[in-house]
Amino acid sequence: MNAVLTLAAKDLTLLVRDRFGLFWVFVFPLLLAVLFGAMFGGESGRPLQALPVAVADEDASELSRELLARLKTSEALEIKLMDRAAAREAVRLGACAAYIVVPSGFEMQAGLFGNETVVFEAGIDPSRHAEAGLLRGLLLEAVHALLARQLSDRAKLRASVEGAEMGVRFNEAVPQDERKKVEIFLGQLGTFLDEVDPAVFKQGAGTPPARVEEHPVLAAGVAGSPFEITFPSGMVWGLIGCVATFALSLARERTANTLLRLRFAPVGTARVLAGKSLACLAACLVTLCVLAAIGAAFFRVRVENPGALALAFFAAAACFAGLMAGIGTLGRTEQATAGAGWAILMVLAMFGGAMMPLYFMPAWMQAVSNVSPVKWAILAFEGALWRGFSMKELAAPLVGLLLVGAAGFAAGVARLSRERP
Amino acid sequence: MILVDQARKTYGARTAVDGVSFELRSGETFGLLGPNGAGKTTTIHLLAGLLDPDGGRIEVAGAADPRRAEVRRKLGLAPQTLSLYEDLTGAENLSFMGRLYGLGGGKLRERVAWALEFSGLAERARDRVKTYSGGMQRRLNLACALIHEPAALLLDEPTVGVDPQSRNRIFENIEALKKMGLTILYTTHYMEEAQRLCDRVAIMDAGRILALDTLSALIDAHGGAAQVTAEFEAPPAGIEALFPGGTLTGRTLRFATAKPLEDAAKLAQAGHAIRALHVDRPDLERVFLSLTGRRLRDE
Ligand SMILES: Nc1ncnc2c1ncn2[C@@H]1O[C@H](COP(=O)(O)OP(=O)(O)OP(=O)(O)O)[C@@H](O)[C@H]1O
Ligand SMILES: [Mg+2]
Repeated sequence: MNAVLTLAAKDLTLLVRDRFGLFWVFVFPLLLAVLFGAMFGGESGRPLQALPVAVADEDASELSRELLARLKTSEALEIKLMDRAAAREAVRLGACAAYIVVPSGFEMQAGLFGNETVVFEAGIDPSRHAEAGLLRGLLLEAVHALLARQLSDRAKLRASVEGAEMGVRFNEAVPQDERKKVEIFLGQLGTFLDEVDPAVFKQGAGTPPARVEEHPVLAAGVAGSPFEITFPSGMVWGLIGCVATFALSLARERTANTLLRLRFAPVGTARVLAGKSLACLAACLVTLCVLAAIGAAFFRVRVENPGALALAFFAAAACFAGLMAGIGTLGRTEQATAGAGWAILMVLAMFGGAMMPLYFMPAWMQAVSNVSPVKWAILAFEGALWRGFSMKELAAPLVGLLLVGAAGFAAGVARLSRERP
Repeated sequence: MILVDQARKTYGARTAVDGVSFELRSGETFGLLGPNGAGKTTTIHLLAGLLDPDGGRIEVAGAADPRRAEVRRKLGLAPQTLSLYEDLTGAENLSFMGRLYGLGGGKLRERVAWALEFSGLAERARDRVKTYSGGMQRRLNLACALIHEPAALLLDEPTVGVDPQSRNRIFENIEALKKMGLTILYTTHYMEEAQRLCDRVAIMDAGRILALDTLSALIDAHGGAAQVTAEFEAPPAGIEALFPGGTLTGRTLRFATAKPLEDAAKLAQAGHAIRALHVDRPDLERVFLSLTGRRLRDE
């Protein structure tokens, strides 16, 4: 253990003396967290820019106008009215992210007895496909809200029932006795509607499906401050900076021939690598704590569960220190290690959601992200900071992180013991 | 102390060490003299346990595996390629190495102070190694191998790229270590160094040991006779006949002899005016030339 501590102390001394390394470990991640936080809305607290959407209202009915009014109240959307051709053109030219056509007949179909699903024609700018889900959610939510309101409006309902009654009465395709039965039913329904308290409908039909409810949550962000989303990413960038710095220092031991002396000392390969990893772990922890402290003190990042955060920090630091051992032994020169290291770390970061929020990604990337330790680290950080994770919910990402760290370290030891001067 | 028996090491198709055998006796300084690529460094790495031999046997301090920690503690290694942390100071490099060998506290401080004094770096102890001259870095490279008081020292070309002043200092260091009773393996391609420092010398070329003996025995066996060259004001007629195998070209007489000093005196006593007299005694360079037909270094 003494030898491991000696090795780690030496590496930390070297890190402190290397200003360039310090920049990547401390300054760069902080800059990222702050800059991206500011970009995502800064002080306004609105994480996303409103999505410009072109809308062509081909129904021009009372109901369609009401739908548009509802969409306009959403902060996440910027509604521009135009005709269908102009709307398509606006998306093609990139002026709008999407267009929607409210079909003629919308009022009829969306009425109480409309038996067809309302189909909105919509087109999305291919480069902004990630935002399609948000738009669809907001649209459906607005339609559902309209229906719920309609059900609770006695006069509207009465009109609907009468419309349906007329439709059936003069429909020659329906047999005579069937028509009679429906007429009787609708007549009774009309009487019922005149007598019942509309509040009953409001309760029964006013709740839109849960799927639709989810989207506004993502759009507005659960977090209180946009920095609560960017700081966990910044922390991951700090970890990545540490890994790159220490992987390079391992490569430098090789090119500066100091690795030869370390191998010759009565220490053993595993402990040589353990010393380097311990130094990396310590640097990771310092980076994480500095970022958390700055986030909490100046950027309104909530730390709801300090104990859980400490655990998440340790697991993430151990994970990346182990990865460092694996990456640092990949190449024999500093250039090779730097190349391989950045390639691996960039892929991990991209798929793990450190470059852009996961919900911006297409589905296949989100699926791949499930195996990136970067995602687990961000999840664990957010879980401890503001998602209110229980220890049980935190366990899965923490165990995943520790396993990846152990695997990286084992791979590093195996590679280094096979290597010869 | 160290036994190498028919050691072999190949890198792909190239054989770097090809059946090398020698023994390092306790307390002796053993030279491994050979040109670039002879296999000196590979041999050192084999007996330091940094490389695995493809064949043969290596024994260090009675143990068959030089990788064992207690064997490692008895050995010190000064690699041919400098092995120092440039961003640490000289003192920090030394104390880091000392700690790796389990030193600490007062003992460590004492050893670091000794090593700095020994290598003449005490004044620069608090400067970063990257500000040192090449010669100073070489001396520190040697000092790092000594920090844990090893019984045997592996020195791989400890004077490459060093100015004459530092080189002299290193020679004095090694002579002091010899006096202290250390067993030293010294590789070099400078025959003067082997002649000055080594009790026994092995001549190595292309992965093989061509000859191994004490300095004088090697010269007697392979050095041939001394060469005497004399340049006269006016060469006396028939002078070359006085010395067997002598030749006269212009005013210069050349001959080989086993008794160069006697023959030179004989020339001087003959009373002829001599402009220059040169006695070329056999040395390791000549030994190498006679063994391989090549010179040690291309100059
Ligand atoms: N890692 C390696 N891979 C391939 N060949 C090698 C390697 N190391 C050494 N060799 C070859 O083995 C031979 C012996 O090399 P070695 O370094 O032992 O020579 P040396 O006597 O120390 O030479 P020098 O005086 O230049 O230091 C050389 O032909 C060299 O090219
Ligand atoms: Mg060599």
